[in-house]
Amino acid sequence: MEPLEEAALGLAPQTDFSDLQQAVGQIKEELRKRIIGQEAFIDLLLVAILADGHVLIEGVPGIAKTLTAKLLARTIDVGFNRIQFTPDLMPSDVLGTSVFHPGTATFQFKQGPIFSNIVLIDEINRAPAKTQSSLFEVMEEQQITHDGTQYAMADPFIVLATQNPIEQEGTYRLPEAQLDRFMFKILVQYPSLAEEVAILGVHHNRPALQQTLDEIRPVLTAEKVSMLRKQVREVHVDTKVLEYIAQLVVQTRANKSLYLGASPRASLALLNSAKALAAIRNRSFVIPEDVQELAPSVLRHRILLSPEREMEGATPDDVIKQIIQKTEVPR
Amino acid sequence: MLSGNTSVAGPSQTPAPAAVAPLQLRYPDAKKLQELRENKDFQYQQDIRPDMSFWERFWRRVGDFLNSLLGKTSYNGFWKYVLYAIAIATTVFVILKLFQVDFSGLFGRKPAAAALSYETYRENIHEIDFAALLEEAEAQGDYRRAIRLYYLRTLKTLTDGGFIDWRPGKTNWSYVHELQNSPLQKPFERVTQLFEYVWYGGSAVDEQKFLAVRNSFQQFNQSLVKTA
Repeated sequence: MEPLEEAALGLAPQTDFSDLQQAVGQIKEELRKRIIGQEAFIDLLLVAILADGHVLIEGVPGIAKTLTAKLLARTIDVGFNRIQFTPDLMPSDVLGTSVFHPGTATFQFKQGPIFSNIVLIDEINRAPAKTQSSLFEVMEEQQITHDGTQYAMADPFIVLATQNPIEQEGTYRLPEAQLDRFMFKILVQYPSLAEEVAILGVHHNRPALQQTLDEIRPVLTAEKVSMLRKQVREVHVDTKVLEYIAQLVVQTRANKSLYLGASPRASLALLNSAKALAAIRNRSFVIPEDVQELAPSVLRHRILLSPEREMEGATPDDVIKQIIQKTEVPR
Repeated sequence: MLSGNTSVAGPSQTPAPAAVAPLQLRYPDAKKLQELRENKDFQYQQDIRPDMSFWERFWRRVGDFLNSLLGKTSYNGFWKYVLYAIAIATTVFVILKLFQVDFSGLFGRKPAAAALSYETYRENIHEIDFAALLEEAEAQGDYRRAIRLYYLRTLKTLTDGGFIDWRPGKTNWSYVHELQNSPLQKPFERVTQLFEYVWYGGSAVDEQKFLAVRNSFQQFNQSLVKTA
């Protein structure tokens, strides 16, 4: 049915998402100047930005995880910082530290690189748990507490973190409490053969990296992001769909294949991201399709397989798929 | 073995006689001897059983009973195989337990997983009396419910016709994709969108809108009949 027919029936969406769709289209256009393929990855990044969520990007080295995050940050005209996580990184290297000023004989807080709008943490799982723990407060509450004083982050505040799979040399598994703070864990795959050829074509005689980065122009401001997020929050979610989200998450807690199920924070992440996806698709309400599509990215890093299932070679995605298949879609 | 040419020691090797002292015979105290004889700790000939509790006596009797059974020569072979069977069954049980295999269903009980079942299938479209429920919903002016029933009936018709594979866990758009390369895909997409606007979108439906939506479903059913 054409949208006009729905309008004639009085069933058209109540919210006008044309601004949002235009912004999303422009960002994608900018990213395509440099990124070949990875459509699903980019879509999920955009959903996370609109749903006010942090993103963990996992993939083997060399598949444009960092580059995509950097380019995305450039499309939004806000502050951007990059932190390379290393095994000897200390919490104060991330959050900031008090510095003594001899002139005034006082300590002054010197903000760390976390104080920005978009923070790209590269290879996050190369730092030990002590440094990871320093991100707990800032990722959840968008503030840090230092020497009893709270420092709020600017809005928007988004953490985009990349990591290599934990099987890789020199990597650590992130603490569950930290993983739970990421809205999505996106698994970036190798490009297809056709995409690989296209990548080679684009990069043949390519300009210098900085020159390419300069080609990317910002299409969103902080105010615009805030306005679009407000629109997303207005997306209607029927009680039946809310129950469906809750059922999917609760079932991870009673599943014999899982040692650890997902938290209520996962339900909220699934709800908020589904609203953003619906808005991107010009719908003023969430449908079960949105929930099913986002469930793997929301849940895969929040659940732990039982040792037996792990030994059998199962993955969290296998269990999530099974749960989705066994749960009746509300209709 | 001794040979015949054993040498004999000469006189020079004979030991000198020791100074002989008169032997004194000493006898143990008869009272003490009797006391030691009566002490159980030194009665090695008899089986002294330690004091046993009720359970120890019970299990000893059970053990004696089993020994009496197993000790009978005529049953030796039989009980040997029984013991083998118990040992094998115990080993298999331990292995299955280690791998957390649920075999309770073998004994006619519901498997443990069923108690934690997370399948939430509540409705089977093949068991719904659509005609009666539609009539009831329309009569009550419950148009949202009526539209839902029309959609479920459409899914049933598509399933019965073999166009889609009905599974409660599939979304509406899974069925739209299943109709790929079918002339029904587009019309089904239309009724799916209408249903979703009403059912998930919370759109208010008055009689006029309901009649328009119902018309769309009827049109789809007509195209379905033509295709079938």
